[in-house]
Amino acid sequence: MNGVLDNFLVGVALLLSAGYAVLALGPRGVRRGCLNGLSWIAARAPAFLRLRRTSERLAAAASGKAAGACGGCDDCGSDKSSATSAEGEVRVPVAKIGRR
Amino acid sequence: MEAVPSAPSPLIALVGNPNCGKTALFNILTGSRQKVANYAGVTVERKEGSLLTPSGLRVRILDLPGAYSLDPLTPDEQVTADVLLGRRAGETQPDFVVCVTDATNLRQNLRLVLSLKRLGLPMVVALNMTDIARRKGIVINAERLGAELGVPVVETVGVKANGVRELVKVLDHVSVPLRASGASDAGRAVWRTPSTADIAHDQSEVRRILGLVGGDRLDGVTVSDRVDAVLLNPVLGPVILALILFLVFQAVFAWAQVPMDAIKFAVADFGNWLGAALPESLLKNLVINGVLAGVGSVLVFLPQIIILFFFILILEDSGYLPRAAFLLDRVMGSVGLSGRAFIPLLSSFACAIPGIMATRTIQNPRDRLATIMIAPLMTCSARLPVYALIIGAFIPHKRLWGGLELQGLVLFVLYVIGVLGAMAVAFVLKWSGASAGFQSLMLELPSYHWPNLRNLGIGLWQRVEIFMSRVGTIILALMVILWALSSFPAPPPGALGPPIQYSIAGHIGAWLAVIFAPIGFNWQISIALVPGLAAREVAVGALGTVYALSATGNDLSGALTPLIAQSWSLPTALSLLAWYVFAPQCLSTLATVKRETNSWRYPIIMAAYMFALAYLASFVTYRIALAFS
Repeated sequence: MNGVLDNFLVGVALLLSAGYAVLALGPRGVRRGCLNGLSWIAARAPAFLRLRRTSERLAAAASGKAAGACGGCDDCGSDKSSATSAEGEVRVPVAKIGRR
Repeated sequence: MEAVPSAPSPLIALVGNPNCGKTALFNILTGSRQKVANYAGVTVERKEGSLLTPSGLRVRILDLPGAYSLDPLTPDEQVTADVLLGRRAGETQPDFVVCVTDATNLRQNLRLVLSLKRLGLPMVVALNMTDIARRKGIVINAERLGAELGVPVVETVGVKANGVRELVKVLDHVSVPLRASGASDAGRAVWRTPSTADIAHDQSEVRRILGLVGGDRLDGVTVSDRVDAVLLNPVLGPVILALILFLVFQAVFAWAQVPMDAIKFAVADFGNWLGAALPESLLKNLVINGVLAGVGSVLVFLPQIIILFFFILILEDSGYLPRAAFLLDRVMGSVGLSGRAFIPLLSSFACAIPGIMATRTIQNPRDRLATIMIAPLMTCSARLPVYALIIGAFIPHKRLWGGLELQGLVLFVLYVIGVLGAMAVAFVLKWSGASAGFQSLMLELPSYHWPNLRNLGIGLWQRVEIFMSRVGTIILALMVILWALSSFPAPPPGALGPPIQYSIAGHIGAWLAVIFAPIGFNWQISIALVPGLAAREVAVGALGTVYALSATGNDLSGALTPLIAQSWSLPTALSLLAWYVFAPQCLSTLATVKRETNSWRYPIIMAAYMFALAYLASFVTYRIALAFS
């Protein structure tokens, strides 16, 4: 195989893996920023690339809840169809639970 | 027919007592595959899906956690009350409520119906589980019930696809005109905390209605009662529980061997084929030593995970699990845990994250916190590949008396040690005043029923999906990164050792080995522990990659087990097992603890105590094993 192509493919694999790892395991702010950035780029891509829907999906993913870190588990988040899941998370301080 | 444009979709909330079949109904209505089980407290968070009615209207369906009243005592009930009262940030108030009731236990369910009526939201009552009620001889006059309550009542069987046809019709005929007329605008529901007089009125109203419609029949001795006489016997019960769990772990090893070998050989054959087909290059090195060695060594444990969950799902669906909570209440109470902690702790055997979320069903905040702190000590399924790898390499595959598998026995012991560790930590928390001390347990024991094959199939498929998605995403990504860290920089000219020793990962491993040498870990294990923080089974993949790159020949993932058997001593293997019994949990668990406690304090304390515990356990195990070997 062509040495340049070989190195290029390895480089792409590494970049994709590092990007995914940051998205899945990184802080929520970083994840949101990355996805919004990608959505912004996709929205401004030339029309023939047909990336509008991808851009919308990325924007929706940015506002949604991360399910990737643990691979996604049946109970650990709201249904993916929920657009308001990020706001819908329960944030009840421990001390206030169970107090009437 | 197309959905009505412009107008937002109506929001319909499924509300009801715990374990009345809301999620089963939700799954049928929306085509979702949310988890259902035969015990209270499975749903602790709102779930949303959508349904296209026969008239072409798209409605949003909201599945809410079970609640006994609108005056919440637990965080999951709080979710339900907040959504219904329109107090939840970012959530619109439902336009319509489907109050799901258990036809076999109408006396208790009707109280919530009356509360919801007082709330004033448009409502239909779904009389669920009517098939089971009929089998028990309970006949309820649904028409009369509707007339008495002043709302439509439809009979449903939430686990059967055709069991909700009538409900969909009612939703179509009631919610559509409601939406069109704008009568369901949020904000009209008014709620005030019920007074003692209100509660007394509701109770007498329930008695009156039950007298008119039937459903107040008290069963004599049912089949469930007869089974419980044995399974809940103070002496026999715990013995049967231990026996069931023991057999589950036996099966995990005994049944999985053939499919595991098949996957192992398939991965090895594929690797050999790739090795022959690809020319020598950096890409070939990445694919074979990075991806295939890492991912292949994790993939091989899929059959064991499926078998484990097969049994867990059967126990969940049959109704046995709440009985187990009842049996263990005294033991749990003695270490300061509430009996309610059993279900969250049991969920943690699958994954600590749903377990920690399930603590929302625990009323007392200190009990809840204590349960959160010990949940990661339950052996989650991500640890199974690590255990299975080491057991497969160091514990001989032989049968003991009565045909018992030695490997299965060791696995069972590891799970028991995890439980005992959790109990010990709970005891310390009780002693330090962090838990609330003994509290009596009130728990609804559902009727036994045969596991639903559809639920079982969906549950198993979900586990396969979750495992494969982890393998194909985060594990794959981390293996590629680890390969790069283990391959660069290249060794200097004239270097004699394997290239990985001169790489970034090699240097990190050598540095970490200083910390872990006292507990017997070599630099390869030390490297594998780092990506293992993302998800525990990643450690197995990491070992696969690190050993593939450490080897001089074309060793593949299939050879990881004999490779570690060759290069580790028994004390090292036992020390690593002890490490993973108490190992610091994955990052996602810590993030969930932060979210559930609304503070960084508890995840930091948790990570610190578990690291200390794991190190101590490994140190003691290693030194004792060294002394005997």
